[in-house]
Amino acid sequence: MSTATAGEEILQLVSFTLKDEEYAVDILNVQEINRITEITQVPNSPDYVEGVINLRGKVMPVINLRKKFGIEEKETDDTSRIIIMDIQGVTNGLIVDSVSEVLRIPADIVEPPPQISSGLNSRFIKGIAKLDNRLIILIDINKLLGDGVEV
Amino acid sequence: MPDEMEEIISEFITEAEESLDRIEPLFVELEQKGHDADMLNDIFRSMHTIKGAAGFLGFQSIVDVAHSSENIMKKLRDGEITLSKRLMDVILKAIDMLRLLLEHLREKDGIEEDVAPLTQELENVLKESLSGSPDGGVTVETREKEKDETSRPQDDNAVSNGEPAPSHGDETQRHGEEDNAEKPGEPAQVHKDTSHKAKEAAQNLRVDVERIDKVMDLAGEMVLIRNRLLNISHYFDLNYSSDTQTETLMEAVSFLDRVTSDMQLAVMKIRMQPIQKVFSKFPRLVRDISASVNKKVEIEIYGEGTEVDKSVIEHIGDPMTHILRNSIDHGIESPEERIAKGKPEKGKIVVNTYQKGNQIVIEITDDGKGIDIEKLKEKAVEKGMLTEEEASKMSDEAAVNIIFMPGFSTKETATELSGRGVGMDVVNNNISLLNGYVEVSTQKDKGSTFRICIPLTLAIIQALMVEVAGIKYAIPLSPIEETLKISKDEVDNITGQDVIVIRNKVCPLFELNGILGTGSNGGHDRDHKYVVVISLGEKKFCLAVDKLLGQEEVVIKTLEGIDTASSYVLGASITGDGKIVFILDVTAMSRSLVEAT
Repeated sequence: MSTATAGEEILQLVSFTLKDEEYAVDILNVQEINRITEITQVPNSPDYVEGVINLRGKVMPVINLRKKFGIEEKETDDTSRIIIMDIQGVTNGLIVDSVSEVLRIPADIVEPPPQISSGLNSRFIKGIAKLDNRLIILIDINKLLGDGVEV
Repeated sequence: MPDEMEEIISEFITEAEESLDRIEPLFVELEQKGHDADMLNDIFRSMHTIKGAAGFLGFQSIVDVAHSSENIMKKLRDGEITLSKRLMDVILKAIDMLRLLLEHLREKDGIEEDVAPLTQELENVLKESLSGSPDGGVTVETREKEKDETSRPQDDNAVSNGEPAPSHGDETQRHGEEDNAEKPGEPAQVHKDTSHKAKEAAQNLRVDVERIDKVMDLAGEMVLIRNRLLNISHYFDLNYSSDTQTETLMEAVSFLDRVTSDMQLAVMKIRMQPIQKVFSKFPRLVRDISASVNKKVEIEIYGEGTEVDKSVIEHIGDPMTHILRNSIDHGIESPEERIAKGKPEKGKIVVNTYQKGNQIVIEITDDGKGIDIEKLKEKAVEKGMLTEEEASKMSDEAAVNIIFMPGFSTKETATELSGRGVGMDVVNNNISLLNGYVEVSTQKDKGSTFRICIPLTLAIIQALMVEVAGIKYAIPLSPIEETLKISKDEVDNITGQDVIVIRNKVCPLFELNGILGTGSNGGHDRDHKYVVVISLGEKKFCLAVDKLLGQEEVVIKTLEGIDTASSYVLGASITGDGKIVFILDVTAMSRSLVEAT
């Protein structure tokens, strides 16, 4: 799908959607993608922590990305997925509306996030990739949990 | 190097290290008690064994150090020289050197230590001591002499004044005369009654920890499967009770239930070791620390035979060392100050360990000046950890816990021992990792007690399963005192806090639902509620739940990526049907809830 030529740095990304936007994370952080399973609520946790799941005997937290990004909430449905990711050594699940595809894009089509978007969530954004007529928001996965406390 | 040789060497290292671990505290005890023929002999023999084995394997530097130390031990045992502080320092130095040499052997780093200066020093000290100790040596009290008299009295006068001439003070003279009368006995026989101790070593098997851990893991998994089978058999019992096979199934499952519990216990016991392993380092530690801050401190250790899980042994050393340092540095006063207060010049630290139900309790008590609560509060306000108002409202019991706050240290000048800002909060964290908690009680000028409570094992706990707002939780069984069913009008409200009266005692009541902030507030309006009474040390509080579901053994899985402190959760467990149940951290609850009231 990408038009990369030899010698260029290629980014491999997993893209997914939240509401109408398309986002992507580095594939190296992604462990697997699952359907929504039973989620157990964690007492006194921030609201974006949806709960914990039991993934083959391992208990791990699941984060609702819509809530984390301040996007209006939506019930999970058949297309909803949990992306299991390794974030700074800790395994986490991220709930997204749907997972689209694996992308290979040249690193040089990624632009830094525009300065105007001074909103709360711009700090999670690593850059924006322009691809044909699509705009894909690259997420800085380490910032997602690192300073989540003040949100 | 062939494998067998490697094995022999590694066995030698382990055994030599164990011997050193065992005799090191004896030295310190010896320093306090004066002369003890049994102990000296024990040390002598251990040194001799190390020397012998090292000689056989050709580790010359170990042989040299052990040989020189052994010489001194021999002379001490035979009463030819007396134990002085200088002598002790050099011997301890020799032990440190032996450890270092063993470490090099273990690491196979090929580093050679120059032991010549040390052996020379050992020889010199021995010579000095033989020619009459310049610093006077250790004076032995009469009481001890009398005790020794029954066995081998002729040692005494040698010990008390460093030379065998019976011509000193009245006391020595008297004994000296008696001794002379019995002199024909050979001093070398002194140790004969202790020789059997060496053969005490029971039939032991050295096993790689990894193998035991593997069995431990499997046992944990089996507990889960057992729970699942119990659930299924319960279902069959309810629905197919007429079928004879159901009964057979029930029988088999209940047998499995028993065997699994027994097995789990047995595996757990493999990992249990006496806590002495950790404690044996303390006499030396206390000796060194107190010397470096010019204080006089003795340590008494009780219950060192108490067995705890290996992981506890590994993690309890650091926090305890920290508490001991803290007690010596901040707690125990200088000798002058102590005399001025009418206390004995020598401070005392008592370490007491015992098992209480499913918990191991370690108490560290010093007879120092205690913790100055007002000063704590002042400091906390100064550092912006508390507001003036919070501080003034804080009870003394709550205020003591300020020392566990990160970045807190009260001593005006930081010493090299404690007070680097990383202090008691580290202790608290380490203990929390073991699912335990620390309590402090203090009394001005009487001293402080640190009480560490940790569960016997870390992997599996007994828990009471409860339900609130349709969600199941597990509460560790050990802090639960009782469960009650109360009616709505038994709940009183005192200044905004719900309380109930249990046998004439008022006890704060919290809705578990409210604390956890999960689900709807359904249970509030019921006529009856179930109450779990939690008792942690001095603190007692009640948690109201919707249902009590019964007791279960749960395997703790740690939670990563969740702030367990604020969620009052210490871990999670997976039930027989694959659901996740949180194990509640009542210690954290007690800390934030009970103190707030």
